[in-house]
Amino acid sequence: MIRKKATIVDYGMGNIHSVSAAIRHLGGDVKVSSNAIEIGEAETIILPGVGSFPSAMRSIQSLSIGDALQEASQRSSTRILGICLGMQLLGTSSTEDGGSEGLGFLDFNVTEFGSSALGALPVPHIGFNSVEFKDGSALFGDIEPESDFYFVHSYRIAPTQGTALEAHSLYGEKFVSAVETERVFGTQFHPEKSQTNGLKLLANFLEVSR
Amino acid sequence: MKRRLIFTLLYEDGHFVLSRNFRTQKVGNLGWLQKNYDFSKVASYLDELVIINVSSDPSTLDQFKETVQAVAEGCFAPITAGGGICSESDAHSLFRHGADKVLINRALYEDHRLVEALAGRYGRQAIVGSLDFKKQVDGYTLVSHRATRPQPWGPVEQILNSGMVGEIYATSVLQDGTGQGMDSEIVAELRSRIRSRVPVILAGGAGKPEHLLEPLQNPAVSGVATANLLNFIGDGLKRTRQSLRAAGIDLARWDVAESDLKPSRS
Repeated sequence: MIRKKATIVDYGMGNIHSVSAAIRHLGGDVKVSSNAIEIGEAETIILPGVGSFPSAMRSIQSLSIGDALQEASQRSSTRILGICLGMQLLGTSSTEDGGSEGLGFLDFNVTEFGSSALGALPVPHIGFNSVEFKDGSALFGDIEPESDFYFVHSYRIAPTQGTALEAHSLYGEKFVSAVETERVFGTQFHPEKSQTNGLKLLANFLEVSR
Repeated sequence: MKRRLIFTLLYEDGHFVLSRNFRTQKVGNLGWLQKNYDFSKVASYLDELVIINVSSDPSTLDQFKETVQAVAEGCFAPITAGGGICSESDAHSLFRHGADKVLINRALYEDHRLVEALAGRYGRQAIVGSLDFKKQVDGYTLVSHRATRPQPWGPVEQILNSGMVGEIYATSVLQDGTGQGMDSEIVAELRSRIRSRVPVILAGGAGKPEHLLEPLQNPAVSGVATANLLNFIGDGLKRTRQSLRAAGIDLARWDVAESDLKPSRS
């Protein structure tokens, strides 16, 4: 069991309940917070999110959470995991709903799935899909190659040439299904809804944040 | 896309129930389900869980959402909850209690503004339209109010083609609870009626794994749901997943062993 406190950022747009339940199931302690001071001091931070990118950024900025995350990310001991929209928010910008800048911790832009690549595939992309990750990934440690995780999204990050370690999945085209740097991590899928595969990944995240 | 194996719990006035042709029989509460059927283990073998409130008394919604929350606490798969949703706040309270999606039925016929409001706020992927099909001599009739009231196709075609509904949960009233097999014809009927390419989940009638295999061999069926507590609980879903995969159905994989639920390093 992991005795670890994770701070889950509540800006009104995430399924806080499921993420909290998964962390508690793994033996972690959960603090759900929308308080900028608490978040700025946190060491293990999870940024969930469901909904539209610009309205999420507005909520985050109005609660001063953006600055708090920035402050936390300066410390070498802090680890941040963004889930679904939470991962997208870690990037530079998104074109969703008229467009918005992101938190800018990672160097990528969020755009819609390419309509020509999708063909007859429906959007949103909903359901389990397999994830191809690279050796040496801390998030995917001890997870079988090509494991399945649960996705729900209409916007995606196209593969980049950046320095962050990317995992990819296929839905008409290749897209970024997870990303990691030393301190900042993200999953486009919902580990808290991906049965034991997702629980292992969350356990790995808690392990790297110590 | 991977196919989905879904389990459905039916809830009525404080208890889980079994349904046969939409007539229900009380079986027990969550504690009973856990004790007699090891439900948390069952939940680790399904792609998604659906929990439907079939209570006729609207005041039971509070109790229902507490039940959804208790089930969600130990279920690390997507959860759809619904039945009796009459307002945005009904839906909101289910989302706050652990639902990832809501199941909408009567509003598809009577209240498109509610469907639009929910899709606008939570996204269409969070809206599951539930349709009940009654087989007649000359085709199918849509029915509501526990299969007692026929409904026209017009409003349903309109709302489904509007793109406000993320997927459809289609139940055969005739097959429901019989364990005699599923009715894939419903899906063909539905696909012929609507232009929208939304995923369709077929429910009603599965009594053994082969009953789930037949509809899953049809590419128009995105997933199958069973509410059969007797045949698909305990090790039932585990064995069903194995046999469906052996028959070539593309289902997601994950390991289920207690040791996997805990971190490998201390």
